[in-house]
Amino acid sequence: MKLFMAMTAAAAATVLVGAAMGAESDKFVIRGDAAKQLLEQNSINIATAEAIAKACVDEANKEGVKVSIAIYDQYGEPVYMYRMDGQARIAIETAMMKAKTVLNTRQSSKAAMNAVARGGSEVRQVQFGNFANSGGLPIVINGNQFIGAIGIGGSAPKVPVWSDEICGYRALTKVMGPQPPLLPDVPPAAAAGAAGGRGPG
Amino acid sequence: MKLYVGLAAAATATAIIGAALAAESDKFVVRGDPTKVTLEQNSINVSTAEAIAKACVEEATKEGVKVSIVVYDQFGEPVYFTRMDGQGKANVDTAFMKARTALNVRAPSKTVMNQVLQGRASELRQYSFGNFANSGGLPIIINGNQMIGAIGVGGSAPRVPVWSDEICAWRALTKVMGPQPPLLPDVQRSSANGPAGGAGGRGNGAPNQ
Repeated sequence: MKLFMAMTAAAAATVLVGAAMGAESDKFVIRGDAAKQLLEQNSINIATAEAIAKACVDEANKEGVKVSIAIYDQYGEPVYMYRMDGQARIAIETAMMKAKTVLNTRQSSKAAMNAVARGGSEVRQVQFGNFANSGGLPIVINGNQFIGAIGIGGSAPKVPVWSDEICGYRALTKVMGPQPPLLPDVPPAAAAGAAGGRGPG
Repeated sequence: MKLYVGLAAAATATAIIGAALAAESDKFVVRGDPTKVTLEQNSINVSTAEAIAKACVEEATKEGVKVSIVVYDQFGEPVYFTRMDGQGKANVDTAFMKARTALNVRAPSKTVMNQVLQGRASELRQYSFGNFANSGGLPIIINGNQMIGAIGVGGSAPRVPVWSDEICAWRALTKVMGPQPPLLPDVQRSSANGPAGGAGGRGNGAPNQ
């Protein structure tokens, strides 16, 4: 009987864990009739996108800087865009370029930047449609499902205290919980410098 | 105690149903290490895509016709393509166009065809959306609510309701993935649509190319 009760408890626990995971995803993605219509259970919902963007704006205000934020769903369709007053075209464009890089590579846009900093070809990255700069992050649920991408542009980096990427990271942490650690800040390779390389900022 | 045992049974049953659902999806989508890189749990795997395409080729062979088949994942990345010998460029191209249409609208490409036939949509407008108003493209779905890819079949002349590219795809999906939602009805071109869409209009029974 004791064994049976233990098994019961285990079974019940499994069910609870499943329900908890389901509930976490439910908060961040489109559910219900809209999901039925789309045949899609893993697209970031507008409330989550807005909360992340607003959290990022809060962070930027605290830091006394301005940013532009673009959020796409996992298909690359735009979901939310917010640019703080005083942001110029290039800040908005780079926010979108960073998010698109994440959509292409399914990882932080800093990966492309670091590849270039380590001596990789930046032209090749551009050819792939990537922008080799940090500030784009994947938005992930359950540790393994990509539901969208965020791109932030517009503020000057003061690594490791502040950067567009840190803004995005703090916003994601606040809205969605703990995030994987950011990629290291790689100094540009000497060879890349000669070939027209660009600092990690 | 009886209640307790009953609850235990219910909990166990729930757990088993959950596991069965997960197992069904696991068969058809990319799992394991590759998903750690792609952060994607809902993309059709190549063995499923291949099985569907092969099943469709078998159906076409039984019918004595030839088809071209393309399978995309839900992001529109190509996963599998095959064309039976003797298929021309238009057959191949229309397979792609039908699958693209299913990806755009997340529904069978026949919904676009039916809208055009009934005069509810302009064929030119659909073209400008990148849609091909013709049947033969179907979404590939797991758990009744998650699109994992799309299939486009082109190349055979339809003999509705006995045979069509769409029926070929539907039978292949049923064979590989289990019961599929019923196909959309075959509608007639509305007479009102005749004059407006007259230039280059196409009857329901015209060959799919």
